[in-house]
Amino acid sequence: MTWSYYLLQGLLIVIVTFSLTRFFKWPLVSFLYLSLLPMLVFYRFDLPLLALALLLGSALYLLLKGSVLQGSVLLRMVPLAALVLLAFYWYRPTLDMQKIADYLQAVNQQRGEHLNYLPQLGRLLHNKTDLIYFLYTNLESYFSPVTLFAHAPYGFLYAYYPLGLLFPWDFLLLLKRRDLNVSAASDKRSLLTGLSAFFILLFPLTLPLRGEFNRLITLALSFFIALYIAGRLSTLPKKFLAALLLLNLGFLIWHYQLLPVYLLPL
Amino acid sequence: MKKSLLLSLALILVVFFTRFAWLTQYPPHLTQDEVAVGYNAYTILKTGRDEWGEKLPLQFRSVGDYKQPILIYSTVPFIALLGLTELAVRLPSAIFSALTVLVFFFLAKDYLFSSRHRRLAWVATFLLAISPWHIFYSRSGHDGYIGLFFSLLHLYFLFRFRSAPKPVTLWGIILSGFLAIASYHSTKLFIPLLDLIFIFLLRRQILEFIRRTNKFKLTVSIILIALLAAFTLSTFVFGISATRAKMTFLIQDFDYARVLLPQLPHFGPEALRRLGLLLSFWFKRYLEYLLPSFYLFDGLGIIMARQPGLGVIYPIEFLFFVIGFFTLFRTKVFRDNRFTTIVLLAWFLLSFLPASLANNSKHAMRSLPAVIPLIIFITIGLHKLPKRPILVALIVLAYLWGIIRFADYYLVHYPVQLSEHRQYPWKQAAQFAIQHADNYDQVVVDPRFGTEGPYTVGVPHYYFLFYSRFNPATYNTDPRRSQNSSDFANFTFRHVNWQVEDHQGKLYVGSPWSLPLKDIPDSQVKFRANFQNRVLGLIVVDGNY
Repeated sequence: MTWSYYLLQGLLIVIVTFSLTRFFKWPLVSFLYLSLLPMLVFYRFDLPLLALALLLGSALYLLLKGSVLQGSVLLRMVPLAALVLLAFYWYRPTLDMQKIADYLQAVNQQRGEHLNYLPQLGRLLHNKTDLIYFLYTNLESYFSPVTLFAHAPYGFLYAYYPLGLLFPWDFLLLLKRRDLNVSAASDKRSLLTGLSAFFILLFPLTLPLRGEFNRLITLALSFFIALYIAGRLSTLPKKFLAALLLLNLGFLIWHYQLLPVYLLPL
Repeated sequence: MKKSLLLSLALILVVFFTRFAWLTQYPPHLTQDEVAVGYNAYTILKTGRDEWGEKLPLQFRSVGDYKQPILIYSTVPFIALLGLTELAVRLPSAIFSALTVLVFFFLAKDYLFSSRHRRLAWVATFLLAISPWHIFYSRSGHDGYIGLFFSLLHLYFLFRFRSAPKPVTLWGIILSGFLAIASYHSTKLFIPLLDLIFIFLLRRQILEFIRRTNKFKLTVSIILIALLAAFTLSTFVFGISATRAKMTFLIQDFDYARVLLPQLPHFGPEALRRLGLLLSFWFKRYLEYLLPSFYLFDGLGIIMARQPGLGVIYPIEFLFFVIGFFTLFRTKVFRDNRFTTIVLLAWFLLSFLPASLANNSKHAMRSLPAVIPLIIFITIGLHKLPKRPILVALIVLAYLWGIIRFADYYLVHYPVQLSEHRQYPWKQAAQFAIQHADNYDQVVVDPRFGTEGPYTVGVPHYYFLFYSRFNPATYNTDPRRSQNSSDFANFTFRHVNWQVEDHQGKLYVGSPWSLPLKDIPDSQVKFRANFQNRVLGLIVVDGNY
């Protein structure tokens, strides 16, 4: 069972990443980078979820890059939104409003113990921001610089293990000022607009939700970011690039030695 | 001129109101660190020695955490003037906090913003004056503010040196750097790293300065600097001064030491495995300081963990921070855009380094130096916005809302929810016990207390020493001190096992966890001290029954 799972997961990753390489200047480099991402090497997902996440992440990248479909950014978002809705229907996420209500009640009860507590003022000052806090921390627990580069979300791996979805140094490539070699200025603008639209469309959806659907979105966005980084790799000098790939490999081997103890069972 | 005068007056009022008004009432009750600092300053004043009998120490042993000396010595004149009072203990930190605002203004006006954008110096200073991050601990007698003050002064002299390299400025740099390192633990790492960046950026000016300085003076200066550096390293960085760093270093973190390490597989060299894991763990801790939640919801530590609280800035400022940060390299508001941008960015990123190497996540006090570049980024973000009246009105409203929220949390919720954390009832219990101590052979104090169980172990002897103003000459020469005991006069500090105690002739101070109310007649409970959330915290029991 385990071996067949690994084999299928490996095949899926190789097929998806290999098929994407033609969109990059240096196919081999991007293939090596993408197929060896920590989130694809170490984390275990249901295969349909993984497949859908990779598809979603790739589709987002290709659609926003303008390589597949022409037309306005919003028009390109339509098939993407359809995919998301399909995933939403498929994974049936739990709406956590009851939990939020219980949570707010507990917080208020605790505050209510204070002598000077004024319920009206309290309600005005606290409840709205407390609600935002709850929604936001839910989002941050799934998707943030920490989950991307240092500590994957709960449920992806052993809760305390400090390993992100991408490589820790990948953020340097995100900050790098030279942009994608494939993108002209207008493409860059459409990429940013599209990404913003995607975030605006998806994140309100994931805020009050928990479960597989959020994991799917996290994985898809992380893969999208990985593709964006893969595009930037071609802007690096060749020697530096070779060193980076070796570093990535060393990082994986290193964690491979440490990780088995922490791995969640399949 | 008239405008500047009015602005200065307004700024002074804001600083006075936020740092000094009702200083002893808000936050209520001194923490154990504050009473420890106060009593040590009192012993220095009266005997010239600390509580352990050490003559004018440069590291205060206190409860074994080796406190930094500047705050304690700064408190001495206030205790001489005002006596051993709560106000005397809190004033130095508040004054340093106010002085930080002043130095910040001159730094921003003279060296950061260009003359065309001088008004931004005023904006930034006002933002610092009302910054929740800068106000919060400044009213609690904390040495982090002294560290920040000297760090900022250090930065001021560095900028001054760049603009006019003179020997007197160089000595300003050295002295302020030395005092910053001697003031607080985080600055021991932060200041040298910042200096290295400055040395790199100013390498040409430094070489030029060395070239045109008199060789004899230069040699003497280098020898003096080397001696001061050796003294600083041996006194404030290594040896016993490293005790606190060892106590709070990342390897002591619960998640790392208790959860991750025990599960590390036995493969390969252990030191290497630990190092690798530690690096990954540190990186996670560092990135946590860059999360929006630190700035918006939970950075300030004003409320219990995992509860909606306050970030280190006002919510509206987050928007300006993001705009300011991402347009930093393109901004044209500084005197020297490239140099200032690099310095601010380095200052910001380095501020989180000492804090991320310590054992708590998102620690606002340890990362306090970041408040300075953060305020500059916010100012730039504000500057980028279009100056439309409706927008200005909305921003002012958003600030007002933020200030009301901060006041609500700081004045109402913080004292209640962190009552146990601030050892709230010890003052009241100590004052009662001190009044009645003469009627008993012994006063026994159990340091364990807490709302949910006896999980907090305090150092209550400081409250008893502080509020009784116990003669330091008697205390630091008491033979019991040589056995590491905190006992004095007829006060004994130890765990109490009520069932096996001989109660006769004793007055007991402790939590209901140690002094079980079901076993004690109600008439014997002489005093009850609640936490601010009205949960019973401590009781005083007459053992004569």
